[in-house]
Amino acid sequence: MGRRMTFPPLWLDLRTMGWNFSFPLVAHLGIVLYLYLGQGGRVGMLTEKTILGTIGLWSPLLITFWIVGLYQDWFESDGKEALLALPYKSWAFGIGRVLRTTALYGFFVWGITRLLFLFSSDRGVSQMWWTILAASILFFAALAFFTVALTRRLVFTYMLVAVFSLGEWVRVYSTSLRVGYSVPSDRTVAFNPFQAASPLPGANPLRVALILFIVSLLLLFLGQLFVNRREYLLK
Amino acid sequence: MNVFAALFRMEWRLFRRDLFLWLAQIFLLLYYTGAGWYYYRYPDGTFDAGGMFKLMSYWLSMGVVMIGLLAGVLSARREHVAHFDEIMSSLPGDALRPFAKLLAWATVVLIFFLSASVATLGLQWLENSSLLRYWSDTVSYLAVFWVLPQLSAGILGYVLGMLVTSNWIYPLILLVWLTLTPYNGWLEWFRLPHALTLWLNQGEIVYPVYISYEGLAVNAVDFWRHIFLLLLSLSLLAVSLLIRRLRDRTWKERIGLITYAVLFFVGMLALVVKVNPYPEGENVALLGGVDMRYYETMQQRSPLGSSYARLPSFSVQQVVLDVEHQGYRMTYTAELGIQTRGDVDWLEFTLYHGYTVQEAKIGEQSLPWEQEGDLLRIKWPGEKKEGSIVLRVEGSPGSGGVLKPQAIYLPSGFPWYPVPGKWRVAESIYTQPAFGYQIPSLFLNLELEEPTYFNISVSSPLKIYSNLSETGANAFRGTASGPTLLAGKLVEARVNGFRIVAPPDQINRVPAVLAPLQESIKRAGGRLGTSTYPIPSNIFVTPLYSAQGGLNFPFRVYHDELHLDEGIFRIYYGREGDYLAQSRDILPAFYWYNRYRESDGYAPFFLAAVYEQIYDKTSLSSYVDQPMPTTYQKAVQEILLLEREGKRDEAKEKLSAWYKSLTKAATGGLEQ
Amino acid sequence: MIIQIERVKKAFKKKTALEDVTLTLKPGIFGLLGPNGAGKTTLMRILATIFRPDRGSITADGIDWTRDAHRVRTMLGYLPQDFGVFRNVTAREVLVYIGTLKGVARDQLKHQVNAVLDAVNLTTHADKKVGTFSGGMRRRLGIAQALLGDPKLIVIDEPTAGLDPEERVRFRLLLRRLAQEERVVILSTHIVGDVEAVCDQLAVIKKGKAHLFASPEELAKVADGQIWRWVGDIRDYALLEEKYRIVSSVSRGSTMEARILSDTQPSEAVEPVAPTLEEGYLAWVGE
Repeated sequence: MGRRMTFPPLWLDLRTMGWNFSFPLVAHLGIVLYLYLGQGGRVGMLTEKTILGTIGLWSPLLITFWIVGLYQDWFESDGKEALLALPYKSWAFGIGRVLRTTALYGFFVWGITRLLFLFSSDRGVSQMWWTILAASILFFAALAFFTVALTRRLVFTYMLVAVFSLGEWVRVYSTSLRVGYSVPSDRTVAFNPFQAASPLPGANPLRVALILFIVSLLLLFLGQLFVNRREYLLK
Repeated sequence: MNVFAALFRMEWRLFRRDLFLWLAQIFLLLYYTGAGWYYYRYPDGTFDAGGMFKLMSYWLSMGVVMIGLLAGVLSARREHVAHFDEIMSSLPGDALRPFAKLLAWATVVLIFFLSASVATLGLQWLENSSLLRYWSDTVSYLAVFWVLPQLSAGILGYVLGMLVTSNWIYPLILLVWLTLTPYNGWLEWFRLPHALTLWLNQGEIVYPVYISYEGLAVNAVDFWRHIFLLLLSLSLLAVSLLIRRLRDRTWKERIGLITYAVLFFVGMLALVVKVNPYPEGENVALLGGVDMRYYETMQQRSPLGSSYARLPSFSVQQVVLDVEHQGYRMTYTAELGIQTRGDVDWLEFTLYHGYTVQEAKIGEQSLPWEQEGDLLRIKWPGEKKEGSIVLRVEGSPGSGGVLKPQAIYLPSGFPWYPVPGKWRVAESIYTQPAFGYQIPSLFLNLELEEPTYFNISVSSPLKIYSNLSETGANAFRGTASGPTLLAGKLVEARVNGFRIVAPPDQINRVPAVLAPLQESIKRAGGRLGTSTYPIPSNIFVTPLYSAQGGLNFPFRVYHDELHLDEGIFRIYYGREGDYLAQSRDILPAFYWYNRYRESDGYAPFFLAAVYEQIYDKTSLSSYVDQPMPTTYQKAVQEILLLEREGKRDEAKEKLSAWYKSLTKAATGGLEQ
Repeated sequence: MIIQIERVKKAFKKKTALEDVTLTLKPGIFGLLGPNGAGKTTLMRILATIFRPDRGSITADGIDWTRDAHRVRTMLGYLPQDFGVFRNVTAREVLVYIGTLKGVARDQLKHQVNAVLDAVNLTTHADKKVGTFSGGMRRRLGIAQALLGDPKLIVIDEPTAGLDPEERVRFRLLLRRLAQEERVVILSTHIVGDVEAVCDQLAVIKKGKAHLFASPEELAKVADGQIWRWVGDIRDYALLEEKYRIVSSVSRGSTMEARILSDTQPSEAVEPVAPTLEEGYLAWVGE
C-alpha cells in the first residue's frame, strides 16, 4: 500500500527549482554589493532609508522566481502527467509548499537585512516594518502562485507579475509624489504591495499590512482551487 | 510571397490568440489611464495631462519593454513547446519564419500603439486638456518612447529565446530589462562607458519632469537612441540566425545574412559615432555644474566686492541682431551703433563665455578683438567718434538660458548679446544656505542702464515671442533695457492690460496670481521703507528652474518683464498665488535682483529671513546665539534680539535701516 | 522516382549516429526497422532535410538533398515522431497553413485540405482547436499534414503509435493507396506488424549501418533454422527461460508454448518452425 505523500522533501523542492532558486540569491548578493559599494556601506554610512527602500522593493518581487520555480515542472514539462498522477495531497502541494518556501525565503531576507544594518549607523527596523515586509513577501508569493496556476505558463506568469508590479509601483509612486499639496487623503487606496519601500502617506501601515495579508490569503485560496483541478493543470 | 503571407498569418493568429499577452497590455493601459486619471486630477478638478503622461510614460515604457522581451521569448519557443518545430523545419519557408514573426510582432506593437494613443488622447479629451491641441507630439512621443522599444524588445526577446533554451532565460530577461531602463547605471560598475548606458536606456534619460514650456517635443536624439536599440536587436537577430543556420544555407542566403548583419552593425556604429545620446543642451545639471565651477574660479581671481565692474566709456545707440537658431546652438550678427565718450582705445562688452566672436568689423575694416571669459574687448579705431560695429557670434547660453531644438529662453538680463560695460555675469555661492533657505540665483541682472533701440530677426522653425513689439514673422523691434526671446509650446493672451505668454494649460492660471503678488510687493516695499513697484506689463512663464542652473527663485523681475517659473504651476497647482506671494520669494526678486548688484549673495536671504521673522512670525530666535557665516551676523542678531525682547517696532525700524544701508553699499560702487 | 542514399554519415558531438548508410528506395512503401538509438530518426531527419549529412549524398531525379533542400521540401511530406501543433489553432487552420507553405495552389487548397481531413477521419473535428484533441486525433492530424501537397516522398516516423486498432487498419489502407501512385513512402517503426502489413521492401539499421532487404520475407528468412517451437509443462518453462532466448510464449492452461531463437537445436523436445518477420528481425539485430 503506497503511503500518501504529504510533503515532498524540502531539498527536492529547492533542487527542482534550478536556476530559479539561485537567481534571487544572486540578486540579493548584487543588492548587498550595491548597497555596500555604491551606497556608502563601505564607510558605514548606509542609511536606513536606502536599505529599506531597496530591500522593500526587490525582496518581495524576487520571491516570484522561487514560487514559479516550485511549479515549473508541474506546468511546463513533458513529465507533468506523471507528476500529476503522484499520490500527493493537493493542499500540501499547493498552499503548503508555497508557505514553506515563503517562510524559508523570509528568513533569508531577514538575514540579509540584518547584515546590511551592520554597514549602517542607523539602527532600528521597527516591528511594523518587519510585519509589512513579511506581508509583502507573502503577497508576492501568493500572487505568483495564483498567476502560475491560472496561466500554467512561466512566461505569462512573469509577464503578468511584472506588469502588475510596475503598475502598482507607478500608482504608489505617483501618490507619494502628489501627497502634501495635491492629493487629499481620501485619494489614497490603502492597498500597497510596496509599503516596505515606499510607504503610502496618509495610510495606516497596520491597515496596509492587514489588507496585504487578506489579499494574499485570497490569492492563495484561488490558486489552490486551480491546483485542485488536475484536469485544468493537464490542459 | 504566398509562403510569407501564410507564415505571417499564422504567427499573427498565434499572437492574437495569446490571451495573456493581451491581458498584460490591457492591464498596463488600465493602470496608465486609471492611476493617471485618479492621481493627476487636482483638487480644483483640473487635470495635469502633461505631468501625468510624462511621469507615467517613464514607468510604462519600462513595462512595454518587459512585455516585448517576454513576448519575444514566447514567440521563439512556440514551435518547440508545441512539438511543431521538426515539421516546420522540414517545410519550405523555414528561413522566412523569423521575419514573419517579426512582422507579426510589429503588428501587435502597432495595435498597442493605436490603443495607447486612443487611451492617452481620449483621456485628454475627456478631461478637456489643452495638451490635446499638441496631439501629434503625444503620438510621436508614444511612437518613439513606447513603440520603438517594444518592437526592439520583442526582437531581443526572440533572439534570447532562440539562443537560451533553459529556463534561466527569465533571470536573464530581468537583467536585460534593467539594462534597457533608466536604471542601467549598474553597467558602469563594470567600467562600461557612460555613453553606453545612455544609448541602451530606452526610457527618459533624466528624471521626467514634464516641462510645459517645451511640451512633449521628441528631439532627434531621442529618436536615434531608440533606433539604436532597434538596429542592435536586428543585428543580433541576424547574427543569431547566422550562428544557427549558416551551415544549412545556400551561398546566396549566407551572403544575404552576413550583409544584413554587417549593415545593421555598421548603421549602429555610425549612429554611436555621429550622435551624442545626451546633448549638453539637454543636460541642465551638467550645464549648471560647469557654470558654477567656472564662476567659482572667477570669484577666486577677483573676489566679490573687489569692484570688478566698470561702466562703459561709450554708448550703444541701437542694436540690430540677426539670429539663426540651429538646434542647441545659435549664430547671430550683431550690429551695434556706437558713440564714444572721450578717448577710447578698447570697447569693453560683457558676453557670456559660451559665445565666441568670429569676426568683428566696422564698415569693411576688420577690428582686432579679445575675449577673456565673459569680457569682450574690441579695438576701436581711435579717429572715429561713432560708427557701426558688426560682430559675428556663435555659441550657446550654457546654464544662463535654454537653447534647444524645441525651446528657446534667452532672458534680457543675461548677456547672450554683447552688453556694453564690464560686469560680473554670475556669482557662485554654494556653501550652507542661510537658515535652510534656497541658494540664490547664479546669474546677475545685466539689463542695460539706459533703454536702447533693438531690432531683432530670428530664423528658427519655432514661433518666437519677445518683450519687443513684433513687426513680422519672428521679427521684433523696440526700445527696451534688453531683449528677451522665448519659444516653445506657448500661447499669448492679453488680460487686464497685461500681456501674458505662457504654455496653453497655464495661461489661464496666470491672472489669478497677480493680485496676491501685487499686494505682497506693495506691503514689502512699505515695510522696507523703499519705493514700491508695479508688476511689469509683460508676464512670461518660462523655464527658470531648468534655465539658470537650477538655483533660482520662482520669478525674475526685469524693467518691463516678469518671468514666472513654469514649474510652480505644476507643483503648486491651485496654490501658486500663495506660494509666490511669500516674502522669501518677493523680497529677493523685487527688492534685490531687480537690478545689477555685485554683492555677497547672502544678503537677500538674511533680509528675507529676518523679515519673515518679524512680519510673518516664523521663528529664527534660535539663530540669535549661533555664529553665522557672514558679515551680516551683527546686524541680523541685533534685529532678532530686539524682536525677542518684544521691541518689535524698533526691530522693524532697524530692519528698514539695515536694508537701506545694505543696498547702498552692496552695488559695486556704481551707485554714485 | 528512385532515391539514392550514398554512404551517408552523420555524427553529433560525441556520438556517431549514422556510420555509413547506402540505400536505394524505389516507389512503394519502404520500412525502416532498428533498435532504439540505432540512427533511424537521424536518417529520417536527414531525409526530411532537417539535418544535413556530414558526408555522402542523397539524390533523386537529379535533385540533391544538400544543395536543393528547398526543392526537396516542396515534394516532401513529413511526420516526425515527436509531433504536436499549436494548441490555439484549429485543425483546418493548421492544414491550410502547411498546405500554403508547401506551395499548394490556392484554388486547390480547400479541396486538398478537405480530402486529407476525410482520409484521416477528422472532418467533423476540422474546426476545433488542436488543444482539445486527443493523442490519437493529434497523430491523425500529423498524418494529414504529411499528405498535403501531393508529396512524392513521404517520411513517417512511428506513425501508428497512439492509434487505436481501427485507426491503425484505416491508416495502413491509406498508406497502401498512397503507394499506388508512384510515391516513395518511408516508414520508420518499432511495430513489425506495420511493416509486415504494408511494406514492399525494408531496411534494418543497426549501429549506424543499414542493410536492405528486398521484401519482408527476406528478413524473415534470416532466422531460417534458428526458430524452435517448444511445448511443455509450465514448471519447466522457467528453466527454459533461463537457458535460452525466448522470442514469444503463450500459456495454455497448465502447458506452455514457446518459440526459441537459437542457432542450434536446444533440446529434443523442440521442433523447427518457419520464422516470422519479427523473428527474422530479432535474429538480425541480435547478431
